[in-house]
Amino acid sequence: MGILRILYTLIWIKVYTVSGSSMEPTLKEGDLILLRKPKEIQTGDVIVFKHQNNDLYIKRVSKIENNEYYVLGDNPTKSTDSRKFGFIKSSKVVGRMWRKI
Amino acid sequence: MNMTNKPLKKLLKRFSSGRVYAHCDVPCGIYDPHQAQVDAHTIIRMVMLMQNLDKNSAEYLQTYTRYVDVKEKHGESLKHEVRVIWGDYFKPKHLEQFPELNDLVWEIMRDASNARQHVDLEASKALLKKVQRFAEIFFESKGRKHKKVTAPYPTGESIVILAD
Repeated sequence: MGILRILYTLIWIKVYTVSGSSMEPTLKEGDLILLRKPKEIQTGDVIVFKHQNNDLYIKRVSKIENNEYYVLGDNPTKSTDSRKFGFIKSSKVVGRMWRKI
Repeated sequence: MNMTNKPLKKLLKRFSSGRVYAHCDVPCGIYDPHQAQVDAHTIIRMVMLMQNLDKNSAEYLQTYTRYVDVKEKHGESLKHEVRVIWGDYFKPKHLEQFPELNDLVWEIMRDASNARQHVDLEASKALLKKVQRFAEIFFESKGRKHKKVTAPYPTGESIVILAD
């Protein structure tokens, strides 16, 4: 069971580099994050999702309605988020931030 | 888990799948190389005016200073416009399509600084040509056709615009 758990973790963990300042002070330019495929996303989770030309964006889930996510940056004065582009469909979510490195 | 282990960070960075964007500016997708071309034309025009200014005029210093000021501002504006398109719009996939892009932007930065420092008509025209190539690459990256037409400015030079 332990080995399966390790394998599962290894398979689903991805490393990404943060670009931009909309998630400051939580995440800064150049920070490394570990991403996992979540069983469930909750309010307050930091998620990575596809948006605009399939580029990957990172924001915090502010509210959840009908399996869609309203996301905001932690640095609201310097963030373009659901206030501008609305809810994010669950199919666009790539993963949830597991750890900042 | 805030790791301070630098070797581990270095190792994990090797496994990075890419960048996730936490952009501070609005990713509205509205970019246009037009302003950079207008800036290059303005620099040319200022050089022309500076070279033709009557040194015996009572307002020579006043007028010359104004030309220098405008040339400086448009030189900086040109660099800003090109930097934003290069940094925010262009992606690694565009570099594969246009391998000259990074070198071209670097040359534009350098030549725009030179245009600010000197009163050199030929150098200013060479800068415009590079900005025009930048505009062509921008339009081509969007799969759009472009053409070069004579600009409606007293520089006698051309400008790259959409053709479809």
